[in-house]
Amino acid sequence: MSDEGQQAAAGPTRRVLLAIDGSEFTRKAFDWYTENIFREGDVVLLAHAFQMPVPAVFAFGASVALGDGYQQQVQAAQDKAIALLREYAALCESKKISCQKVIETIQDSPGEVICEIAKEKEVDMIVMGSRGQGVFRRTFLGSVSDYVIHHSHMPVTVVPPKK
Amino acid sequence: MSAGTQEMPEARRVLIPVDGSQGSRSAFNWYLRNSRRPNDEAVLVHSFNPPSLAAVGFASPGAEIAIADMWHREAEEEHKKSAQMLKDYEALCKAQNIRCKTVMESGSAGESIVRAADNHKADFVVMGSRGLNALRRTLLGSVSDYVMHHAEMPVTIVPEGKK
Repeated sequence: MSDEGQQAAAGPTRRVLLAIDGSEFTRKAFDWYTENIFREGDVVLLAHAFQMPVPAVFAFGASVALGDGYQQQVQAAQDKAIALLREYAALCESKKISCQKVIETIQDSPGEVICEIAKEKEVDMIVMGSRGQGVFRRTFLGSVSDYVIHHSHMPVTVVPPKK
Repeated sequence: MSAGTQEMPEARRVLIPVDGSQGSRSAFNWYLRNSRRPNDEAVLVHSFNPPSLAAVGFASPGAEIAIADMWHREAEEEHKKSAQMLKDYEALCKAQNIRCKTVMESGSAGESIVRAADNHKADFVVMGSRGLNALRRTLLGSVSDYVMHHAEMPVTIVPEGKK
């Protein structure tokens, strides 16, 4: 250890869940993590809560048998999700950060998915952006991050949109 | 970075609210073990609230002056305890070679913390999920909840169990 001051000592491997949702808020959270928390040995779990697309036909209230159209919709949404995680995996690689990709489909809420993955994968902490509607709701916390901070049993860092 | 250059890491300022509870101690320890970087400066904030009159107890009619005295003495006692608590944290920081400053605020805890983070230009906040006054029923106390919603910088909430 240097004389100038100590750094958080290297310890056991930390598993960090980074909630990824394709917004610029996620990118802020990722950057904040790499600049302020990351240390060698960390394993980052890029976690995405996948939303099954609503079949177009249902929008009109008619009950029509789902055909190829819907299959294609689902495929497209899945491809997009996978591409998103690949993008972040590439970022991790460029910074020499070990990472894993995790996608789980939303049943009740995205917040619940994040918490489930965190528990299942036994992560040490969660880092996420906040999709707060600052102007209208006068707060910076979105509903997903709000859910996670109220239900998570491990440390959660929420990175707000400003600054 | 070319060989031979010593890049001094940019100084970060972390704000850690403390109140004598295990919760704030857990947050402080988490920061030391997981985020601490050389050149960090820690700002330890305590929101002091004098005891309520009801806490002082009942007295017989006509004993208003006695009550006022009792309250005054209790308020002073509490203030001394808080000042000592801040001193203890300051000593902990010194032992770890972390520059630190202590701040005693008053009024609503959530508001004081957000205000202090703003005034002291904190880069991020690390706080416990619960303080001394929080009800045991919830995972997240109202003060932490308030700060999560109103702080303009990243906030890490550390659950009580964490050391």
